[in-house]
Amino acid sequence: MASVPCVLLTSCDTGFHEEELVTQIIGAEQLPAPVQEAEEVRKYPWRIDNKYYSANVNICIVPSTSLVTTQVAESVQAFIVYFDSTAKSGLEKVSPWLPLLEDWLLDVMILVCDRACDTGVSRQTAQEWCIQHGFELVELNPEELPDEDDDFPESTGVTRIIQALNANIWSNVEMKSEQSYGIFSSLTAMNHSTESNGDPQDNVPVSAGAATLPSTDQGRASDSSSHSNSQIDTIVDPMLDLDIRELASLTSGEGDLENFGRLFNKLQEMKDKAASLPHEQRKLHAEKVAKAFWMAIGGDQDEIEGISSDEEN
Amino acid sequence: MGGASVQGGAGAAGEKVLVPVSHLSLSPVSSFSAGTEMIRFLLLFSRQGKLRLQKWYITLTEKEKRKITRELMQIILTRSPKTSSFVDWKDLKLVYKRYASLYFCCAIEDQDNELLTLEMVHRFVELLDKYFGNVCELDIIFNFEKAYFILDEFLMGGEVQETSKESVVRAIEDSDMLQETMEEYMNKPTF
Repeated sequence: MASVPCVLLTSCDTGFHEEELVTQIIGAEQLPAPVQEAEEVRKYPWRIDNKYYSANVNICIVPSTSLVTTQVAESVQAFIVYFDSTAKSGLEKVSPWLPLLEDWLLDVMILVCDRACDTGVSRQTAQEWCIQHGFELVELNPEELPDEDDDFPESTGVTRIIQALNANIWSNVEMKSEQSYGIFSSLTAMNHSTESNGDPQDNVPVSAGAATLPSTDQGRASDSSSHSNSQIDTIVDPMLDLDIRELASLTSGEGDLENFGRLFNKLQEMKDKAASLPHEQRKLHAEKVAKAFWMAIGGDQDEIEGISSDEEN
Repeated sequence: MGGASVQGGAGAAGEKVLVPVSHLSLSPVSSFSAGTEMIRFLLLFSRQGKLRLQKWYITLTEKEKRKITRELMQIILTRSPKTSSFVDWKDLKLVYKRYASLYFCCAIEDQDNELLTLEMVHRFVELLDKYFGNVCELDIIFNFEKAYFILDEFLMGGEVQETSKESVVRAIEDSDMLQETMEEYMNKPTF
């Protein structure tokens, strides 16, 4: 789904304007002009950025259930509702949303009020309502501020809302690089790029895609002038190429345990194959595998250019 | 050569010590745990009632686990912040504490020590904090496996297996190192 995920924000208290909360969540002095989605539906873009990921979301203000547009319904991933805690019937005004929420099954649902009120909706009542409906209660101005002596204080108010929105995995998250699974992701990427180049088996001798790695044996055997970027240099030993491809395919998809185990077996296999070769060829094979791996994990060709065994001889 | 051989598979991962449970209660057969502090299970959940980590040291079906989880979250999340950290529940005692927006909840047996359990929870939090540096819910979400590794270094079968904070941290660093070495090996196979 390409659309930007949305946080549906609504107020069931006519005295509370949703924009107030949006301003605080976005942390802007002045709200940017909303993108008018449909009548009375206002959208404010917000970028979530934390140590693990970044994601662009829209905070969509939808005043009532009847104004929910198809687009909002399809992209909603979090729900924030403000209610009037001073009125006994405060929570009842939230109930029209419940059937929709049962459909949507959202991960983040937050019930917001200024402060729970014993003459209206008490903290206990609100809390029980929340547990029953899978919400979290956030008071914007709680009576008790967190204990300063607490080493792990509980965040309250808007801070807590932002925190809860951060603790969600949005459909369009961009994980930060350190979180990628190292070789798994890069090998998978390589696998995809070769697949898109058609059937790899068909064009093995002058294969495209990942096969741009410099090969040394043919080049050196035939002509010493073919060091540089000649055709021959880019040819890969077909057998080795297949091995590398297989290795890559093993790491594609989910990097699950079984694949991981087979990956090691495959490596072992290649190692055994190399072990049966005479000394010189073994070194050559090792070099090829190392280079192939280097390229497979998206390494820069420049880096391995100078370390070819051609130069040594 | 065809595809690599399918063997080995899931292997030893996730092996755990199972303690026999009597049919009538959630407590293991008493002779098994006489006199020692043992946690039956540990749950970590957010204020919103999202389960972030769970560790069961007794054998229960998935269905039972879900039921218990739901029930405990309900009990604990509705408790006022001023009440004590201990709740009697069935034939067990619940010991819980909130850290930031996360609740750590342990179930222990009648004769077990609540304060000791709170200390264990606190130690686990300290270990997480030390590893992640100011641990937050996001760390547990995105690095849950590390949180489990740390827990497993610290507790085994519901009992403290390592009392030294330094040793636990060292063990985690060692396993991180091993993982990095493996990645290195994969990157540049040495022939």
